[in-house]
Amino acid sequence: MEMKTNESLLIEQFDKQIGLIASESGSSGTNRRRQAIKAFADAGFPGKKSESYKYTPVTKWVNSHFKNSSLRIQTTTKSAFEHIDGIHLRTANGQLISTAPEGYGEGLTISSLVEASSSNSDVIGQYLSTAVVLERDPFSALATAFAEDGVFIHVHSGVDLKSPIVIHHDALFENGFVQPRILIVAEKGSKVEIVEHFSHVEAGSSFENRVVEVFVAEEAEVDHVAVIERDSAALFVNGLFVHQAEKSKFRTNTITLGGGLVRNNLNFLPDAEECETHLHGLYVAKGKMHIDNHTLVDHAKPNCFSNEMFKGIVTDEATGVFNGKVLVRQDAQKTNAYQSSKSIVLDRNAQIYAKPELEIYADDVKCSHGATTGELDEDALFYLRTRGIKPEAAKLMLLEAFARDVVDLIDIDGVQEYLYRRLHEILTVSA
Amino acid sequence: MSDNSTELLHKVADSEYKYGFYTDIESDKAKIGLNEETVRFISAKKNEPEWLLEWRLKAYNHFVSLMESEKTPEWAHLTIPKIDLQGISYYSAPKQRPEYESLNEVDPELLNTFKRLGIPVQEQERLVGIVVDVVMDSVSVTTTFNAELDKNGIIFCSFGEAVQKHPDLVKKYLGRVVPYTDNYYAALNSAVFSDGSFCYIPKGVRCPVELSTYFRINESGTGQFERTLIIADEGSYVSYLEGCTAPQRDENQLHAAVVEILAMDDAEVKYSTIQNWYPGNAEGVGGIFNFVTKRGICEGDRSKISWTQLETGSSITWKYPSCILKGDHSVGEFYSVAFTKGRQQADTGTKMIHLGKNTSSTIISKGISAGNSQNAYRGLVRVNRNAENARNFSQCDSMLLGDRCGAHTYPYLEISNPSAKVEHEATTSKVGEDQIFYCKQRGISEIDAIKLIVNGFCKEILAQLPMEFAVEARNLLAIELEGSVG
Repeated sequence: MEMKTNESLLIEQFDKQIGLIASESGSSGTNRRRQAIKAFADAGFPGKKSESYKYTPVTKWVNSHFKNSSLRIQTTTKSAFEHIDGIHLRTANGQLISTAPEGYGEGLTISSLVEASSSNSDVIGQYLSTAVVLERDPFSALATAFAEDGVFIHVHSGVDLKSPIVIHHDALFENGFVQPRILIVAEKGSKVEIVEHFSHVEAGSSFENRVVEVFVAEEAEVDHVAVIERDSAALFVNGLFVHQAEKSKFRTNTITLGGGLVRNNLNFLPDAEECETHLHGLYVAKGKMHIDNHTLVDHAKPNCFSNEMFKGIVTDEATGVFNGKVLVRQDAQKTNAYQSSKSIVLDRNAQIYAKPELEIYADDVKCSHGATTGELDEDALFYLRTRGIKPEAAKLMLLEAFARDVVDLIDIDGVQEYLYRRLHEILTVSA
Repeated sequence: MSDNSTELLHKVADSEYKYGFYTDIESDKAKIGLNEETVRFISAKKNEPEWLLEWRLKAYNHFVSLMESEKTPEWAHLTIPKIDLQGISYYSAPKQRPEYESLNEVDPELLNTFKRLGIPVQEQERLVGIVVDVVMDSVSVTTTFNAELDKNGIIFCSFGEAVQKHPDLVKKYLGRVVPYTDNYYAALNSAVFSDGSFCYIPKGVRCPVELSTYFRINESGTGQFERTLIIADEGSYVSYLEGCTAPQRDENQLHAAVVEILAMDDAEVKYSTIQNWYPGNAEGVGGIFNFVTKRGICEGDRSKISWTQLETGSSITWKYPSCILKGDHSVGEFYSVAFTKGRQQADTGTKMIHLGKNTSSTIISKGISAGNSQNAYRGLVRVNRNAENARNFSQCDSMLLGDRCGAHTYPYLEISNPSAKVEHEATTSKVGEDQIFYCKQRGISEIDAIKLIVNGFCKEILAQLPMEFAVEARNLLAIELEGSVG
């Protein structure tokens, strides 16, 4: 079905498919979707006046023509992370197409969300769509309203998955509009690493609007990496909502190297004491790319720690945006929260917008943020030149070193090596 | 923190406003309400030329369009109650308006007011170096040291006088930096501004004295709409001081001032403010709404504009003294201490707009919040495409003196030139228990320790103030901290 992503048409479509009026027989899931479409209807797509989309105009993008499709098309693309020793999953149009791999042992459930809603109805009922804050972002609300299926990963209590779960988000329907959903539940004391790769697929002006919800139970540890390399005509909105229970650890690394307009909405709620949250991110924007990292760490409970580091390189006519907010609520005493954003501008037609915010309502806290923007360090360049290194090579060396600070925090060798190689390729042209 | 110090901080936060009293001077008021007639009344009252009335009316029409489309600024981290603009009298001038030769001729009641405020009007003859152009409500009452200024060709007078005596200068520069379309409150000010100060420093003149204006809100229910215009011609220098305090009122008073500064080639303007308007009672009732637009443009090459402010008063502060760095090698500075307690709300900061080549800016902001107050820094650093080699350093530190207050930082960095170097850092913390412990160990009482630590926290800013002001600022801060304890 060809459609315009115009607000009223979307709402109409929702009414046809699900019905805007609540019925008594409706499940709690359906009701949540109704709340979501209402939140979307109230907000609409963010316009010029929206403070959180101040630097990221989406109107032109969302008004293009997309095809709504959740077809599970087959794909033969080779995946960059195929050689990594782990549990491999594959999606097309945001839907799981590979059957759950065999031999991954006990203590792990992987399935599509539709399947899980019957086989794991209690877990789905407890968690699905409860971490997403509908009022925070209209895109997340929209995705919640329309999400029909997606990926469900459930790591059982006490299970330590030694090898990572690698999700290849490969094929996209041409000019497709997809709103996939992922639910990750890591039960008490479990440990899991999840790597997501959005490979370059030429699907025209595709629009992916996804929501990932992660629940990290007591003492559990989740390590997450997302590598985004979509096509320059693609609109990619990435909503991540993380809920953390006592003494849990969550770490994410969001690497954006491709896409026309990429908006990463990363939300963290350490909702109990002694949580640890690490958010790292890197983006390289060239051509006319527009990459926006929007993060919120909502410290609701005392004695938590968060550390945020984002780095960006922009060149050509590209735009980089960083808007990070650390919110410390009144009861979140003894919070330690750090945030840093560093960016390099390589071209006079490129732009960087940074808005690192602190909003603090508790007094016994240590919070800081720092943001820098500039070109490459002249002294460092000069030093390398005195060692006989050509200017281009010296520049490349410094840019790679700058970017590797983030990549080095990923502890899966295969991912690290791949990113080293890709950064070298991308930056060689820029340097 | 120990109970002792908690109790102390509560006392500090609960301390009553020291300067709350009301001077009984008859005034000449405009009819309550805002309409075209009000604008015409003010303009006629001030005997203004046609072009200025037209400008005011344009501003008024623009303001009406903003008001009708309800375009009040809502982006700040402030809860602003609805202001009844029709319930305000837009003009009030003291009825007795003689020109004084010496202070002896001034209404003794007025002198008494200043005495109680501790404003050194009477000391002026001794304190050579300060010229005070006292603004009581909206009209200038006294100007001194004119002779000294005249000798150098410096013009320093009330805005109304400047309109009469130097209409060309006013016409040329009014609205150049802050056009009436700039924002909601600037539009309102442009339509109904009553008076203010005007200052022109001619080419190559270094103003021998520090120019100073004390603003006061006096008449109950009168909005204060000051307009200040400072022009520093090529190679000149001026240091301008502004300080204010207001009597206790139960009714909210709106203060929407506009300050415009122009600095030509090699000129330097230093603008210092101590703001101590009535902050409202413990429940936050009756304080001043301070919605100010202050902006300077470094028009010429190698020019410099420096803003220093100590903000301790007002129930709501909405204020962003800014610099447009247009000239090559121009410099902008912003130094600020904002102290909030009780139910005060402050959203203050700056904008540094880099347009010229080799421009640099420094922002140092210290926020201290106590009681139930909310204190936010909001600042923009913008480097335009052609602003080669721009340099900015920003530091925004916040200190919390209580667990029911808030400290927020909202910096905006917009960079469109690769040669720019922009650095921003911010920290938030409370007074360290270890620091207090160390002081107490050395026999320093807890209140003195807190004063010492807060003073150290703000030292960088207070050091920027001219001598007389620095002393006043330090005392004010100490009083604010001490409250009823001291």
